[in-house]
Amino acid sequence: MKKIEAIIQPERLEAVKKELFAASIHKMTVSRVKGCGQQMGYTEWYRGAIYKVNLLPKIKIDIAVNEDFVEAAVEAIIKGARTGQIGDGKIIITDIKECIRIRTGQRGNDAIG
Amino acid sequence: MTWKKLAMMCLMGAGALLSPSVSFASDGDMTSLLACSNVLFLLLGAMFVFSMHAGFAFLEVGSVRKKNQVNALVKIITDWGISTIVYFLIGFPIAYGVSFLKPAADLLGTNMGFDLIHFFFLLTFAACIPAIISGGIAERAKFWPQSLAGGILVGFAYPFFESLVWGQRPFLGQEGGWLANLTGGIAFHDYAGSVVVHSIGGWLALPAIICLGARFKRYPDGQSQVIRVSNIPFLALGSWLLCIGWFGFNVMSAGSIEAISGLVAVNSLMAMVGGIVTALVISKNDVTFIHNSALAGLIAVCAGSDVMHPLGALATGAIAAAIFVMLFQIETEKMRIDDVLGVWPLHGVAGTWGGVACGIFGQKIFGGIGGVSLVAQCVGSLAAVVFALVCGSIVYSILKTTVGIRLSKHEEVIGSDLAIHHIEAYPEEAL
Repeated sequence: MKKIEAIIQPERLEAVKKELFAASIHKMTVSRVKGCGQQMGYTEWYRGAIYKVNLLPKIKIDIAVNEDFVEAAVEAIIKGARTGQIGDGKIIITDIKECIRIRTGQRGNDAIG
Repeated sequence: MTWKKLAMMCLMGAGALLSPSVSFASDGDMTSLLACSNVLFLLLGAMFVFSMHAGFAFLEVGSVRKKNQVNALVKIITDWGISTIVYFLIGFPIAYGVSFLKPAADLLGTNMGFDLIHFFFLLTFAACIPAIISGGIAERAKFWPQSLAGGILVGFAYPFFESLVWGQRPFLGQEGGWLANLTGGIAFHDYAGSVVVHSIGGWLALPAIICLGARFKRYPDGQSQVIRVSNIPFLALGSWLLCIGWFGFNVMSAGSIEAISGLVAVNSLMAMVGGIVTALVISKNDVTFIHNSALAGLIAVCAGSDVMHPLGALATGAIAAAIFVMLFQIETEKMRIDDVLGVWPLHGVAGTWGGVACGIFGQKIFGGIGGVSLVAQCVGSLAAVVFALVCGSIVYSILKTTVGIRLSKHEEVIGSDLAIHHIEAYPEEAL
């Protein structure tokens, strides 16, 4: 069981969702987050005053998958999110210790699938 | 005459209206009272229609994504500013042959500055042109080229067509004009501007939208993908502001208090509700179609609001809403024209329908007052379509090939608020 955590550009979400669905991955949690990587933010103006905004809007997708879906999920995310520009994001994969489906009480691989 | 005397006279006049027993000293006082009442009448009209521009602003703010809200607000208010200057100096003189480049005392004249207030009233109509176009080209247009286009259209194109219908060139709308001579004396009739204002604005917007191209996320890989709006409450507020102001737009188009017509007010009301109820049914209770279709009804009734029966106005508004709802879906889904607020079907086509509808429901057979010609209405409405398409195509294709009219893809992605105005609609949320 792996947890895939992808940080992507907000405007790529539709494409990533489409690719994930095409790879038969339908379960995900999506959050609006703010973060900064190499882009280092931008400046805003208010009544002549200039201030620095460091954190850019990003989308975070969390997906819990069984081992045989890991590569398919990673490929789908890259296919949907890659533009070649700075800020395309990152994918982080971690082991899941346990997973429980609340409705049925199932555990492990059955709970994820 | 001093201001004090004038104010006294207005007060006395107001008193006289309340107590019929007070009599006037002379006909001269009565004439002055009428003159100052007319100035006040048109001022109230101008303020009503001015408030509609707040409606344009909020309709657009609600209908775009959050990253383009600031741009929508700034566009509408700066278009107003630019429109005022060019219409004062160039547009109004083109349309009516009245120049304001003379001493202030002459401008005030003996009629309390009626020409000036007439200018203000008609400016509120002229400034609708860039406000209409703004909604169609939202979220991806460069700021300055669009401001320039607005200035050109309000300074030259719109007032020229206005002059042919309402102004100094007897061609379409004037008795004894070119068209009236062809149709047995009946001129093209556009009471408040279904055609002169709305259809011109909407049909100018169409080539602008096509020149600009769709927002890059709108039709990815040839598929239609709806771009969701940011704020339904603001969108609805915009529609309400437009609806309320519209009663000044139509009723005060009388031009003077003696010509005021309750028929115009109730016809506007009926067309508006005809639009609302029709959209409710055919759009299956879609909030944005319902709010915009109130406007479709009002747009279509402007032309014939003084000659229709209220039930004719109801039908006119209902048909306008049906046209708008169906054509917007054809335009954006089948024709793949990314008209963000649907200004071409709304102002353009519903406006043209309004011109034609005046020639149908204005006839006595439908309970109307008569004196309108369906042929003249069709010719006048079609002339506006051709004029606007030609002007819009020329202005926007020249701007496109010279300075460019579209934001870069990166600017479109980060949004016009940050790209152009360097601030978001909700700056607190920036971290």
